[in-house]
Amino acid sequence: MSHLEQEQLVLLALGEATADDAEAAHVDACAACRAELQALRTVATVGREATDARHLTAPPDRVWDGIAAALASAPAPAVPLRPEPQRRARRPRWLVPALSAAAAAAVAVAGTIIAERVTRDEPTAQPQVLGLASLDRLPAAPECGPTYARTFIDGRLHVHLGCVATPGETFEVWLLDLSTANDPDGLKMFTLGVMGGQTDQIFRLRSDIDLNRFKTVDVSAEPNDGRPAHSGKSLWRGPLPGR
Amino acid sequence: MAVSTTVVAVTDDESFVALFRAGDEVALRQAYDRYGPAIYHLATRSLANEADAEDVAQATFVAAWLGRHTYEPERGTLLGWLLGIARRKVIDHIRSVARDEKVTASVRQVTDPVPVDHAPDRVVERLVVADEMAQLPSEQRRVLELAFYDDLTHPQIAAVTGLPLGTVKSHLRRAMQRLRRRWEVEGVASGTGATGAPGAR
Repeated sequence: MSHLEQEQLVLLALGEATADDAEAAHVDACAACRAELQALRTVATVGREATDARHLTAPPDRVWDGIAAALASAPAPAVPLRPEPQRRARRPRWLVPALSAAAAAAVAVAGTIIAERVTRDEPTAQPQVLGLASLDRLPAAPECGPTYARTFIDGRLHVHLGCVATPGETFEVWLLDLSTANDPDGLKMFTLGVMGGQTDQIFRLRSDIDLNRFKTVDVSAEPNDGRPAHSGKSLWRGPLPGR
Repeated sequence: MAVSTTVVAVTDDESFVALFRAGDEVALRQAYDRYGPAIYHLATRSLANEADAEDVAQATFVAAWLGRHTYEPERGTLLGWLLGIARRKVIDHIRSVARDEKVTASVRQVTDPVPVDHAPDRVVERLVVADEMAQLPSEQRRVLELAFYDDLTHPQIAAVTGLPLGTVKSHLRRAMQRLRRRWEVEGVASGTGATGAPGAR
């Protein structure tokens, strides 16, 4: 007799079927079928015993408190929050992708603001995290690992990318108001600054930016061409966390 | 370390695990929210004393965090890896209690070893199988639950669910195969290093 069908082995393991003489004789003689049946029987037993493992209760809060306390004195995380190495004087950039340079210039003249970047006073302690969100990879982006943004309760935004820009390009971080995507004068956005060749960068979210509107984080690739407008080449995009 | 409760959930498992390995403490909190109940279950089932169980659960996550670089996703799930750490903490704890009792009360025999039923390995196997059951497609899971917990035969399951007999049988076969694979990779192997975390003790 040939090996037992998998379905028959499962029914035998569940105890629902009994092997007929030919099957029993085969299982006795066939090490492979015997091992298979034994494994399935054990899994069925474990599964039947697993009732209380299917409705678990969370540990008391003090367990997490203990973890947090133990880690407060632990070594720094593997992704350090690096302060911006130096302040760079930059003209405000306030731009509209896919618009003419003239229209973009007009908007820029109208006077908009650049978000300041944090340049110093990086606290040594981890500030309280308000939220974390993955940034979705857009088709133009390189495949280089997880990308995310998180906000801290003190109004700062940490952006983590899996890679740095290739020479000749700069990664720039923006806050978009996607509700203006179809406005005649173009999508509204603020620049937060550039990644500066780092995979991690921290930006300050200025309090006069309406974060209920400008709530989409966008990372673009900018050619080093001196043009302040968004290049239109968005690489990653996601919600501003904690909003 | 402080993490607020307004964390935006990262639903994608791969990026969540990557964030954990990269050292993002929000991902640690998510790992705790997701797997803390299973770790705590293992600890409370294996140890008689509630405070000891809480200590083990806490020590497991601290060790996992400090040893996060040693977790290799291709060798098993994060839950399996955490259970492997917790299992060793439980065993270490039982041994240290036994040692203490020998020292402080050498006359008295160590009387209450963990009942076989609640031996850590067995509890780990159940947690792993239960976790895999929870991830089965809902129809497969329903059919398997009727077989496991209601002791229905496959014709009875077909009658109860209205599914064709052949579908019930193939659901049972697929569901059992999945449980079996997961159990082999993580449950039965938890003591042999397949989910081991050498750097995370």
